[in-house]
Amino acid sequence: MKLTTGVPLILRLVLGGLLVLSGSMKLGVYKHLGITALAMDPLDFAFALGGFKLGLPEMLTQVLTYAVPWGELLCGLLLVAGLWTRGAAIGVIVLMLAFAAGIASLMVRGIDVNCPCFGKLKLFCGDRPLGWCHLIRNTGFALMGVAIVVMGPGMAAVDLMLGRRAAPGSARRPGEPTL
Amino acid sequence: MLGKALTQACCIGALAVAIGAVHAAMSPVQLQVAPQPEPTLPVKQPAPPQGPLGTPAPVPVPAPQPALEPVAGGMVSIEQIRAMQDAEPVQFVDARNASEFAKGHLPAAVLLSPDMFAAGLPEAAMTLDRGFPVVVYCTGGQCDSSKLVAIRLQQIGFSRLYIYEGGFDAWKAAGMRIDVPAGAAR
Repeated sequence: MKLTTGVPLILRLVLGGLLVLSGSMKLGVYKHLGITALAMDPLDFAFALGGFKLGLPEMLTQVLTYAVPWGELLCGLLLVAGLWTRGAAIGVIVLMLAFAAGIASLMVRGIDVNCPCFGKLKLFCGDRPLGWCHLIRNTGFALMGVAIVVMGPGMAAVDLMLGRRAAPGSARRPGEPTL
Repeated sequence: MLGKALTQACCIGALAVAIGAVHAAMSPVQLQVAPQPEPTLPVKQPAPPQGPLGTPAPVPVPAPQPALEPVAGGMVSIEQIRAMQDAEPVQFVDARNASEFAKGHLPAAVLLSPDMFAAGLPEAAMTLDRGFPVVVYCTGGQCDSSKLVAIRLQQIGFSRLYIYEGGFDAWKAAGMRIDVPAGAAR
């Protein structure tokens, strides 16, 4: 496995997998499935959004409560599949920057908000309120996204297969980005 | 290359918002506690004062008492909680996390933090009596977990729910009694 094609694949799978997990948890998928360790309710995320004290109208909070996890889920699935890879990676960067801006504003205003990010799993930052740890974690995710944009989808990506089909007999090397 | 990727990102974003809007329209989350009955405030009937030799003393005209206005959205103040306690038992629910609860809580409070509802109905909720008022609180100030827990309790059939917005900090600052578990640092 070449470094230039293997690394993007690993980044895609790790980042995409985490986003699929996070998005589906926020949408309450595991609560419906009865998987207690991953159970979460959209209400938890709605309250976390409210905790940012941004004065959002209720209708917008309602839409964001579902649109953000759906965004995570779509980006995650596309990254794992390697379809529209760079677009999905840019979507992740935008999401992470938006989260980072929100967390920074909480820190400046001295507001404690519990992170429902990965439900009971409390991945990476444990039980602490949104703060430096989450900021660093989200920056890390955003950098992974930047690496995917720069390096392309790597190997085992749908983008690659579509590129091959679109240009049969082309001299493209295996793993070469197609976007 | 980047232009195409940006177009794709915009499409993904638009799709997420569209699906999110439809999802929100189909199953909106309950963001507010539904209107609650006003707290039951007792009307105290003072015992008739006795004059010398058992003769009734002249009845003094009671001074007008300041009205305890219920706060909108099921919010109650310390004064309202005390008035409710004069009428009937009031159950306290602590919506903070376990470590904060262990350092001290309102009298006989039950720990029910929002994440305890993730796996369904927590056992602690079953110890509450639905016939008596339940006052939910968290740290106070900007915390939202009391509202979140109140909504959860409402969803499982509790109807006499109130939120003490001042929370633990204001209760303690007012010099009210708190329970500190043995071994907890004061």
